[in-house]
Amino acid sequence: MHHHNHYYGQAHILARYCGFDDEFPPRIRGYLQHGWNVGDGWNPQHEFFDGAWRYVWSERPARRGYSERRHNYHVIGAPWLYLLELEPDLGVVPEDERRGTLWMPFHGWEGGKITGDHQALIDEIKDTETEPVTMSLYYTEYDQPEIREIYLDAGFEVMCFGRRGWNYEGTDTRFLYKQLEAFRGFKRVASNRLATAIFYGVSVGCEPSVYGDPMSLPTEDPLFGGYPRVRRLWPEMVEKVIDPAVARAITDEELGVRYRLPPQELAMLLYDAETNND
Amino acid sequence: MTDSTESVPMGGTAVLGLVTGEMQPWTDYRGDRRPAGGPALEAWLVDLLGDRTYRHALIVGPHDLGIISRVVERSDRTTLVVRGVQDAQDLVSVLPSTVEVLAGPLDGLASDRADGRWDLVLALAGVERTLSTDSADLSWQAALRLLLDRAEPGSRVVVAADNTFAIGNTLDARPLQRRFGDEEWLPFHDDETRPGSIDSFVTAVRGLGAEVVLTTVGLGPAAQPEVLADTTVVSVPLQEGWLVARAVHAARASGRPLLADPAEAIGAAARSGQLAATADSWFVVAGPALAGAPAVARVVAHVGPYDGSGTVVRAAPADGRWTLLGATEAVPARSLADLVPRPAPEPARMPPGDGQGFEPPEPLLQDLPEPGPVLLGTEPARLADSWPAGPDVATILVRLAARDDVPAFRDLAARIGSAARRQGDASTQVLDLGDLWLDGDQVVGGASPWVRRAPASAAEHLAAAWWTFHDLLVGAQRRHPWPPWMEGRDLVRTWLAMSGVEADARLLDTGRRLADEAASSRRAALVVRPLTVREALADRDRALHDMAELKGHIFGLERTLKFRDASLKSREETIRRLRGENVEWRSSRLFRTGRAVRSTLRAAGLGGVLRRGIKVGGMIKRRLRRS
Repeated sequence: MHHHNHYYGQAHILARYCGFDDEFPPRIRGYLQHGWNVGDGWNPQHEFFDGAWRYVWSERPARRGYSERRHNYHVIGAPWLYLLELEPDLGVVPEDERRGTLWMPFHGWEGGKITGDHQALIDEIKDTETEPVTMSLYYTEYDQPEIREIYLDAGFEVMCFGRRGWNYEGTDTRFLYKQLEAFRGFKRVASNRLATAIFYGVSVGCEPSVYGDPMSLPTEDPLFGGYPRVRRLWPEMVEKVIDPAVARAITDEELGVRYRLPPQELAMLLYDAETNND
Repeated sequence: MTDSTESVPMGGTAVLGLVTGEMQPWTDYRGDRRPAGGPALEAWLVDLLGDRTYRHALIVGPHDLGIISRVVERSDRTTLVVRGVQDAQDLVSVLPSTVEVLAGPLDGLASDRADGRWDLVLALAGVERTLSTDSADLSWQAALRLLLDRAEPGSRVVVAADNTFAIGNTLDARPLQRRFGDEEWLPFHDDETRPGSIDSFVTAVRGLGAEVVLTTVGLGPAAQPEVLADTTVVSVPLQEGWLVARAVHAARASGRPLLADPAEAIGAAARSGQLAATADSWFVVAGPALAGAPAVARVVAHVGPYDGSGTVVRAAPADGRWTLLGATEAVPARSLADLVPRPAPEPARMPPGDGQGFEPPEPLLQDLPEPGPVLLGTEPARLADSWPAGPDVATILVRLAARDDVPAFRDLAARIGSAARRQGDASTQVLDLGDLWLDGDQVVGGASPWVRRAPASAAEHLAAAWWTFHDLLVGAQRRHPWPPWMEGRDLVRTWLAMSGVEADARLLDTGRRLADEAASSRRAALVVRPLTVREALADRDRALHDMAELKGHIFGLERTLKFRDASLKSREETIRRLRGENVEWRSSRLFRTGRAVRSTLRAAGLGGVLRRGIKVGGMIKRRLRRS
């Protein structure tokens, strides 16, 4: 129902899981949470049409939403989890062959660019990491040569997983597939903010690490408490050294592992009768 | 505890007499006004009276033939006092010669038989229904004194009082004056001496010199409770469970038109330990100490259709479980109206004047329609020796749905599926989630005697159970996490899948039919329950809410269409542009020259030269791209 549902090919993954066409996925009857979030799954300014159903990853976003007098939540778990089930072998390497740190800095978006000291971040990365570092830049930063060059000149590999898409155009539907393949080969995942990518990495066995200047986004709305609230709620996950068992437990909770649905049930939730009866 | 299933043969040779103040015409046995009785009260009384034989029993007020039979078979002689002459005549025609039937009120008995004393005195319909239009202006307290004065020293007295604070009364949709037949001539509920609590009832009885040995609450229609429970059992906080479910069923079986379903209020009263304070009626037993420990089962409940058939269950709570003390088949007492049919009385009409008749307006609150067919039966042998005292599985599922805890709901649904399959695939045992319990990590039954007339498969039983649960959850607009378009068949199909059953349309249809049969039988007198005010308001609000959400949904669809249109338009433009470029290219001199060269070379057999040229061209193209 909303073009955000197509971000990163998540609607396509769910369609495939439910047995539908994943090149032109059927319309979802509501809004799909597309990234980990400390609010109700969406940013504070997000508009919703009346009666919209909101498919969230875990129960806390739903509870936060209810407290804001928003309604109609259903917890389905992150689409990433369904991808793990669809692609159990993609990118898998023996554990002792996992190499490198996939470093994923906090990113801006079309509506705003991040500000911060990239050089200071680089220095801290070099001081911290013992594995070869690959910087994964969001396409808004990757498309800026000056940012790309900073990390290349620092001796890091620089990559981008593709474009998120906007208004159903330009979506790289293999985005998450590429991320999955990459995470399964890397030993560590790191970022300057606790974010979706950290949870994805932990879910497939990466050692997580969160450190460095968190940078800022001038258009960031502090209504849900902003990054300081993230640090207060998940202090265990905002550390250079994170206990793997704790990280795994928190990841399973935040991605909604126990809420995964069987295909038929998910299809009935997401799609209309026309689609389900085809 | 003995429980004879045979009544005393009715020979119709009883003696008829009159005491001052009889009522003509009047009946306490037909229409809205029911005599005290019913299978639960009858079983409770049997336990109470035990094996003792009474010399001369006195029954004052309207009691059904089942109650009268139990007393007659334990008494050498019985005096029955009913205030309506018609009722007295009908009773004489069906009762044996050991019974004397007096038509008239209690105070008429006291004045005309001033020296009369009895060793068993019953007034199970309450003392108000012992007085007539021509009685003295007696308060409740005064009437109670007259009753207790009929008892000889050391005799057994059992007297009832109905409770104005009963939940059913509070929710009764009728104005006060239309709820109680006797109120038509006397607003007796304004009497300040009437007890407002079980404690004040006991105090009143003790204040008149009687020794109270047992207090019991009645749940259900005031004159014919479905459940009798020792006051000590219901005066403590109770979680939703077997007894509360019985209380809810009893309240729904009251026959009253209600403002709202009583389930919520009863649950709240039970959790706060106030079920005694909000019971429909109280029974006080006075006299010598009761033999046995206890002499009467802590809880006696009728589980069956409203026609009085079914099972009488005797149980007691102990160590977090209910222990079955006995389960017997309930034999519906024959009603006086069935044995001695009379035409229904015509409503009073004003005589026509000036050619105009006066037609009384139809009341807004009609009598409930005739009960639906009874399609289930009960088998006492189905009950287990004990079952957990905690909340039933339906209650747990409702709570999980309210918390949006679908994983835990799914887990419990899987256990329910296992329980159903343990029953086997050709069982007649009705599967109802309100009669299943968590015992450790297993779902177990054992508290329900309901059976179907024909066996059904485990999948069919499950489908019926989930449809019944759907009616409970969705029909009552309880909170749950599933979207409205799933409500109905899709939701039941989803829950069946959680229980390990892949449901097709046929199974869903069968389950719906079986669920309707169960509902019809369990609420046999309430098949078409009048819509309560709460339900009507909630339905209206829900309709308005759904309309607003559908409008939003349309808006979302229209916006999606707009984006899709924009995408289509840009693709269309791209296609057209490419098509135009293609046409242009094909008509260019360069393209035509190249095509001519290629066809010439091919014709001359120099295809290899062409291929090498194409390869070089490809290398040039790649280099151009990289730059």
